[in-house]
Amino acid sequence: MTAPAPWVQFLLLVFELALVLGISPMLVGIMRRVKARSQRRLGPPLLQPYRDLRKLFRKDRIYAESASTLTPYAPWVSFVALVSAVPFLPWFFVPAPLGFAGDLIVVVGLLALSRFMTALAALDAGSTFGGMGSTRDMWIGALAEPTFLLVIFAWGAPSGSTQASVIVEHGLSLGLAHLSPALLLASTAFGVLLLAETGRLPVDNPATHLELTMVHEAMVLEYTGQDLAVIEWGKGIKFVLLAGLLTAVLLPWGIATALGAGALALGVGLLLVKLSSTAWLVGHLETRVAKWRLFRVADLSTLAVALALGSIALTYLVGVGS
Amino acid sequence: MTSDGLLLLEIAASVVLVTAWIALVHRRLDAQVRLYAIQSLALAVISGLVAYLYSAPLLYLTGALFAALNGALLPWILLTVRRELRIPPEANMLVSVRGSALAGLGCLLLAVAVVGPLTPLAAVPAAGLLPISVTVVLVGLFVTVSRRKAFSQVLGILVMENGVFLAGLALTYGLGILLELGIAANLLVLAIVSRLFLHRMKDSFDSLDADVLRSLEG
Repeated sequence: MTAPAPWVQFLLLVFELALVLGISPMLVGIMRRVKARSQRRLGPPLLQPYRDLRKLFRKDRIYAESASTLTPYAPWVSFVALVSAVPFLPWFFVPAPLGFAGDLIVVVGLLALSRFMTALAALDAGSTFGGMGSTRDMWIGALAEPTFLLVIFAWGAPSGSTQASVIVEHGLSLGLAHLSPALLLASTAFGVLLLAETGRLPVDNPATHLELTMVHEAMVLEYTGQDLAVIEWGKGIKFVLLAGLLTAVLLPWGIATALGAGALALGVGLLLVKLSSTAWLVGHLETRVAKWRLFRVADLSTLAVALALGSIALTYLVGVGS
Repeated sequence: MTSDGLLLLEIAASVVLVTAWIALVHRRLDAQVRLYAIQSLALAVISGLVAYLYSAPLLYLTGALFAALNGALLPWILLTVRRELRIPPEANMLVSVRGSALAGLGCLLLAVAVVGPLTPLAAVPAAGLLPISVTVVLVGLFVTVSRRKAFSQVLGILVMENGVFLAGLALTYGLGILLELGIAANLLVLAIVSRLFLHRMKDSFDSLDADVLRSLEG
């Protein structure tokens, strides 16, 4: 697969960024809507997250008196870290625009940076909730990151690469045979991880402000205005990142490998379908499960680790995945 | 035609494996029974696929029986028993959830290590089928020995039987229709006997904890 000319790459990169930034509030809207509907509520309109963002961007930024200079910058660093993970992933075209510069491990690193900055900022103002939220979030992160790496290795084992583009191209070249038991095991593990990383229901309730249970909300209590806007937006982008990665690896069909109007349009269209169905599934799942006790999150992540290791074992010992 | 069929076979086998694994770590008895039902339906699909791919028409019958008995009737009996006897909905696990998840991994590794070399001998060329079936047998065994409640132990035995059925399909295109019918009948008897047994146990001991049976030792 030859990479297109640099200016085409650049155009693709800009378009991908615009796409991901643009649709992430929409997916949050879909999840809220589906959740409300399956609970027999009407739910907010799909575009409500955009309106919330517009409202927040018009508001001033206010900080606690005890906050240091870190507090104003942390949400933006976190946001930029998440946005800069976008060009490393395959969205509707492989190779990914920045695929030459880094693989999926870079993405894990960027997610970790974003998490770290949020947790640091939560501790900064010295409020109790911030401290509780950040310790909880770092603990979940400590469980989720090794799982993430293991899943990447399990996904990459058949193609021998941790590059997202190579994994997707390998999957495309195999056709339907790409759906091996090893891949399905690893993707189940990633599904569990997706819920933990994006703070969805069995792990963290995105809709609560109850001090005993909140994780992410506890960390961002001190923020308002534009800062809160980028935090909320970043949360949506994180969901798009992980859902996009999962669907690209599990169901790579439709991702274009050569430039062409038809292929690209199909790629974008299918990407939107894949992302919104993931959001739909998560919304339904959130209705069916209750929030788990914090220490049971370790049970979930152990299951994910075991599934990922099982997938690696199947690939290497039986050759099922190749 | 065969490659798509084999693919479906592998996907169904993955469903069998993943459901066994999740049933191993799930705390809710009802959810475990439902997972068992899904697993049995996936097995029925596998049976039908093998019948189609290797033109063994009797396996269609086996698959249909399997779907009806293991996929619908047995789960229904189990769910009713649980409700009738008011068995608390949470499984009483001797091994923690984390330990169980890792034990599932251990089962998989053991199965792969032991059965892996035999894979070329399997009749059905879907490479994963044999290790997966042995994993399911081992996971069922683990469920049986790691739960207190007689109800969960019955469930474990049923999962083991599903594994044996899958192994039979992987090795010999099914064990032969008579044998299958025999196994299916046995299972039904097992379910009915276990139902009576659970009733008796509840009456005599006011509990379904299998450990109370130790008080019968002389």
